[in-house]
Amino acid sequence: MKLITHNMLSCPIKGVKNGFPFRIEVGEVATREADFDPTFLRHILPRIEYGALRAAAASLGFADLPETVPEGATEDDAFLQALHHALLELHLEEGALVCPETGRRFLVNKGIPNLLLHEDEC
Amino acid sequence: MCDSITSYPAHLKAPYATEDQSFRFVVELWGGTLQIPEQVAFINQLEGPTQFKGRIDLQHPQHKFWVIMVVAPELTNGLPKVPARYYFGREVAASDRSIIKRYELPSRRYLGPTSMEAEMAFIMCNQAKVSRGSLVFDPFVGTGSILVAAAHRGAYTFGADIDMRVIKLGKKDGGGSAVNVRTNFDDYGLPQPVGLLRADLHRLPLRPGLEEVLDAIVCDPPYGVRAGGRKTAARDYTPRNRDTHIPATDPYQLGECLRDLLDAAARLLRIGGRLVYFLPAIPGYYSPEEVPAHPALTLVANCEQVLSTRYSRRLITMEKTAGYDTSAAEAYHTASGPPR
Repeated sequence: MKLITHNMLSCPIKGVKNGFPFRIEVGEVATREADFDPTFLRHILPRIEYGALRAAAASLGFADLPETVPEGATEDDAFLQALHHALLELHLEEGALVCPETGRRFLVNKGIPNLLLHEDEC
Repeated sequence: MCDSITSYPAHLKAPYATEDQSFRFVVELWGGTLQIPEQVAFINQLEGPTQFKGRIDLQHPQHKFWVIMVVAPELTNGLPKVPARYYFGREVAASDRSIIKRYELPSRRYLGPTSMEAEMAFIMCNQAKVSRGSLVFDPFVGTGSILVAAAHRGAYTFGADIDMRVIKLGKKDGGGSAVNVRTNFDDYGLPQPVGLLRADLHRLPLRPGLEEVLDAIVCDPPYGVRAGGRKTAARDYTPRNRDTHIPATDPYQLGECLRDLLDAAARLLRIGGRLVYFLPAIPGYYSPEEVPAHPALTLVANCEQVLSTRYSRRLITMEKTAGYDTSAAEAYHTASGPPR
């Protein structure tokens, strides 16, 4: 699971108000190179919850994202490279996503998070 | 046809008729074949009407002019009958049909009973205007056949499925190696999806406020002909171990599934982004009111594909034309009653 996915997810349990962002329980992390595409990054950046991305990247061992989005970020190559790495190259292979409100753990197995609810959560 | 070409205004023909331009003719017969001498005889008749003064170049012409003849009204494949006709025109663009062969399903190592055939998956992606850099979502990803076509177009792909067997475990191929949705992308040298999830469209685990992030949603919803839809089921039951528990599912009625799909599209697509999906229909009973609507989406196209005398499906294309307004969507759903 790449962090672009983590950034879009929240806990779907019925009644949960603050199900975002999932805390990451790290089992195994992988890094896989992806094509650098600044056009896509510029397009996606306004849709990203930056604080959540930065915290998630840090929990996967990548601490190079600045505290806030720098001014002129869309033309800042160093920033875009770091954003690219955080969003698209870091993978949570094994672990869990933990709901910040209920503490429910959603397992991540072979890079695929299982967000199906159980009978008492719908 | 020769008379039409002769009477076509000279100033419109002139830009392609000068001595410094190379050209060729291509003759095609729809519903039959023409031998080379017949083609040549036909082309020779065009010399007078066209008045092209340029050089003929069969390999790399600057302009290609097509003659297409339709002479076989009895072979219609279910299409309306057409009288014998001749078409003449200059080629401005051509489709690349070689990709259909390259992506045809029998050559794939991982397939399911409802994998979308390659040609249709590409047509769906064209309808959705999928292009380089698009972010495309399939909420019923299955074996990934639609997203493979989107990835070929250079899109970033994102898939979800309620069934873990499909997206994670896959199966063994003839040689005994494990294949799954990921190997389908690897086998074609395409980039992996940016995300794969096990999730239920009815309870999509996306954060509130996530809107206008997708360029397209392209999918084939499950509708009970070859694979019935399922959704997670609410029950008065607390599992002992959530890590290993396999939750119960209920049937997912088509009307409810489509309402969820349209609402997700209305929320997640950018303005101008498109939803493309198949709707089952029974020839003879279908009426256009069956096509579900949404206040944020506008119907762009509705094309029937006849599958048998008793069953067809319609490729529906919708475009997001207004921002998502929760109260408007709820009012619309309340007014239209419970989904059928």
